[in-house]
Amino acid sequence: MSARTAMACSAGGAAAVLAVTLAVLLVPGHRYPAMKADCDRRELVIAGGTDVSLKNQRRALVRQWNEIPYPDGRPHPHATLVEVSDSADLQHSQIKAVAESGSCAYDVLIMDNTWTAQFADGGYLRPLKGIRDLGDFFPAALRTGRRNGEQYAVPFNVDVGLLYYQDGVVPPSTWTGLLDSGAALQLADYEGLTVNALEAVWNDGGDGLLSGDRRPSREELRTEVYPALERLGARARGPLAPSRQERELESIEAFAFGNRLMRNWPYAFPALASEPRMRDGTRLRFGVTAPRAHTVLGGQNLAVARRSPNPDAATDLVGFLTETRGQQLLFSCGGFAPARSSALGLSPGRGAPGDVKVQPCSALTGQDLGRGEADTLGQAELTRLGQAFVTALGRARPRPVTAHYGTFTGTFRGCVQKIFDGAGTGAGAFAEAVDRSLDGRTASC
Amino acid sequence: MTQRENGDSDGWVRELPHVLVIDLASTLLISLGVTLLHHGFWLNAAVTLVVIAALTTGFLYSLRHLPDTVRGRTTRALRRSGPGVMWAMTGAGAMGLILLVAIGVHRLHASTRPCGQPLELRVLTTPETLTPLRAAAAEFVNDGASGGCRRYGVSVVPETGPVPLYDGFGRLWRRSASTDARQADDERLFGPQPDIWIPSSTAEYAFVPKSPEPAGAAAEGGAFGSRGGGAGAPGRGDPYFRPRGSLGSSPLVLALFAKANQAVANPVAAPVQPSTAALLRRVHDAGVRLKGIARPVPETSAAALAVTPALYGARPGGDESDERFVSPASLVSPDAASLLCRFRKEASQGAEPPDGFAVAVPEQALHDYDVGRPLGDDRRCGAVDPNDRSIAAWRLYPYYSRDLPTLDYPFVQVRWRGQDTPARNAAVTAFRRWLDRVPLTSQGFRDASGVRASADEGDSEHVTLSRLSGLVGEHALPYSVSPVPPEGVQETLDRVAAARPRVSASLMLDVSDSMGAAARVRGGARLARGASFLQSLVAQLQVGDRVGSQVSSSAASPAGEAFGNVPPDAASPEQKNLIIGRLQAVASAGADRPLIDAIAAADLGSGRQDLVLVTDGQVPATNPDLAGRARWLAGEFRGRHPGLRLTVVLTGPAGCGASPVREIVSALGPGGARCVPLTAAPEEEQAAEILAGLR
Repeated sequence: MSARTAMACSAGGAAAVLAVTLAVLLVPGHRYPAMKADCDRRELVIAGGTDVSLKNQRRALVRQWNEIPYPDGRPHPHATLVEVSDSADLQHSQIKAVAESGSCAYDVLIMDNTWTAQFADGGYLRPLKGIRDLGDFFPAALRTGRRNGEQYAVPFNVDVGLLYYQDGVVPPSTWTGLLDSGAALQLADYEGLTVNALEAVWNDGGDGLLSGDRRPSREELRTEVYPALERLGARARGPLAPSRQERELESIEAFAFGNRLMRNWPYAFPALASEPRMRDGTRLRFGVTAPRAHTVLGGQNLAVARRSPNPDAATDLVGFLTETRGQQLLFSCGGFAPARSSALGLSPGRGAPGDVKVQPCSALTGQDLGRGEADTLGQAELTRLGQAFVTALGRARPRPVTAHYGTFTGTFRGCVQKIFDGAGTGAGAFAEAVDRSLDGRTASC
Repeated sequence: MTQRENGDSDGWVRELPHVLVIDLASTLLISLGVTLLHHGFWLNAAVTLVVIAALTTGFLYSLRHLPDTVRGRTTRALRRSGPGVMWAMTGAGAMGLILLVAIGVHRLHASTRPCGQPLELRVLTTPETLTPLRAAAAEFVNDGASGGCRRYGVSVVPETGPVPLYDGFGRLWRRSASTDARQADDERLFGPQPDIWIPSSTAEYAFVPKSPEPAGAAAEGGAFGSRGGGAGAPGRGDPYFRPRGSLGSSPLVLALFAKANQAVANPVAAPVQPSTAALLRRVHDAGVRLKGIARPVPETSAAALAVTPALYGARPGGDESDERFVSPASLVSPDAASLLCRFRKEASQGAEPPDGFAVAVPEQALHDYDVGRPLGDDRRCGAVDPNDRSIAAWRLYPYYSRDLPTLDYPFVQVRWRGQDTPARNAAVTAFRRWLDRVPLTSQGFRDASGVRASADEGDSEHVTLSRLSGLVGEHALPYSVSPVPPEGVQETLDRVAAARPRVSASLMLDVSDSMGAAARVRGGARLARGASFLQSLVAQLQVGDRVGSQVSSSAASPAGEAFGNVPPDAASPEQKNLIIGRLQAVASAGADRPLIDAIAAADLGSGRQDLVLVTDGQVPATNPDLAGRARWLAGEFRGRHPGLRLTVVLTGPAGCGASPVREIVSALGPGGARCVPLTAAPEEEQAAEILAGLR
């Protein structure tokens, strides 16, 4: 066989393989008869969790949107709040499944602020443009809706860790003092464990680690995060042992029934104020303050779904829901801490806690209260809560910003549980597992 | 050996290097193909090379034994084409190698980057199968991970029973559909819309409304299994179901606590009794006097519904007395997991097991209970040590009979318009295939024919029924149980409804401003908790029942045109939907209306009537002259409504001992009124308990 023939045979063989490979890779397989949705609708659909605001203020805001027209007299497109579940995990499951299917079922999404990175990276969200006065939002809260320089979501309500204390109790001045006092924390196996453990890390030698965009090295995880969790673990086997069974509501119950101190979100304040045993007439038998420590910046954001058939109206609705008036109602009537500083009477140059000015619910709504009835929270109580909130917000930090937050928090919680149990998890294994989880890789301690 | 034979022999030896080059190239190509489609190049390559080399060597060697003419022709053909094929294969192999290296580099690069997003699968199943399904789903997710990156995420959530499911699938998974001209501002879902539904039985699957198959699917030659009925199908034609076979089976059993079991157990008796009647006779003959059989509420538990006809048929007398026997008031639970969870909680508190009761649950749920696995979705029922003394004291021992039905757990794909994509379909298929490879027999189920799986030695990851037999005795657990399909859901529901006293319930919800404050349990507003409780109660009513609703505050008169007021009528699906929708939409407004005034304004009929009043309590100032009003309630009002029973349900903060609830309950007497505080237990469970009390 001549060299030319041999070369031609070789080239032919190579070309055939290349062609077959490309065909395998590029030609679509079996065509699936997917059922397409009808996206031709004008109504707006908001997807979120069960409305747990007091007086169902979220529903009330949606109702207002439906009743009030645009300034030029055009009616707002009708909006419906779809409440998926009480559970944040199940809300996430539904909203993510719908979004990744490319469905046009939802226009506005109510999301935990840790979902922004995942939903923005997945292409489920539309950049938000046209929301008025973004500078009025609390900057740290607004940043939780930003990804890769683009604003995808704005905060709807904000959470920070607050310290609740019984009458006559002096709140500890340090975080370790708080932990040693046996305060009611949330150390049951749910997201609250991640929150409380991160706060323990930040306030016990791991300041700034596992927060925001900055990714810790494995060395930092091993030498700074892990030892802080071990110290927390020792307390979880000691004075904090009851908190291992507690979520937020159990903590509120424990505090109402005698625990001297509690770390919890702002919504615990009106919940406690509704409890007869926590009141003496109009006076509350407990106080609230901002811990002198870093706490987690939580809360929920509003975003417009990428596949919304009505993106402009959806953006208008997001703007409406986050207007100062709505935020005031959510705070004074609904018990949710607001996302706009103006809702607390603050403005540029007047943003100190002492500048907080709020009104009780009945004054905002103009509603007459019945005989013998009063607002659950009067002006003084709301002001105290607002001041504690603004102070704590200045020290609050976001949780890790990653498109794989779900994997991170699941892994982190599993590791923390093992550390609490004294199950022999090593610092190296912890560092490797947490590091992998930030990239979405499965790992366990 | 002749010279010619030697020459031919040398010939195939000379061809051997060419052939081996072809083998090597073939190996590379096959491996490329396998790598593109599956993964694991080097193992594939080694296996392929060995197989091909063995085949070709064998082929060439076999040439020696062919007839001369055939052998000569074959050898000549090989000599002519051999070099060309060899060069072509060399080129192809080289290209294969280049592509494999490129794929390797790409994968190496990918392994250093963050993972992509796993596709989210939503699975719906019965409360008692949550634990095995969650364990299986977690294993599936981990098995499917590549380089530590998960391809799928799976959420497994509990269903709320056949009756609510019927409504849910008929209303695009909403708890209520708007029947008013006014559009709803707010809707609640039953949770995530399932991609996969694993009901307890084919009968449960057959019960829910179904739409005709979509046009695209019809073109597929009927790949979509269900087109059942269409009766009751929602107007929008969603969702579509595709049953994909049974995942295993589990017979329903009657179980006894240790004390009764000691009396009844007999190692020489047949493990499966001919009938439930015979089984109950055996229990009776052993000296055990059963006061009742704890069976969960049929409307919220398909397993309970399935076992009901067998229980009705096992005792002499009519269905009415049988129904009372299988609904002991102290053991009402919405499903088997809740019932067993309640036992476990009492066990952990050191209580003694209830005397004189048997329990009717699926064998698989009993397995999870006895071996100490988590039960249902109640986080207070996590894993326990089955050998702990207090837990072991509450161990249940299963008994079988030939007429107790078997649950067959069909795997049903659910397709929702707009969420139905090739990727989602592929993920559902992957999970289904995985469950074929790792069947639920490794999670306490039997196979589809009712046979127990044996445990693999050294496999500590899975829990077969062998672990249960280790606890209750090998003889107690039959090796095989012939499957008996349950009767139809609607037929049994009708039979249960006929056997029960009918309920005529007037629901009243306090919507005063204070109901907007925080609920004492489970968070959220009192109004939301109260409304949600009433919605659960309405969902569990049957067609033979009657129901109406009213709201009460200074701004919403129970007797007026308030939005939440729905006149009493038969509890048809339409009436239930209307009430559930109105309850969803009510808002708190106005001051308290005195409770006795609200009761007086209730829309009550004649005869036996139940008024369920949900409130957070009231301050004394709202109820002036309480003593005088209470006397009126006990006298004139009671005379007008002798058949009325009042149930005050408190959301907190007021307790049952607080005024004015205490005085009102007292005025109507012990048989005429009671007070029940809402607790942290699931609303379905609390509604089931109160409804059982009404019946």
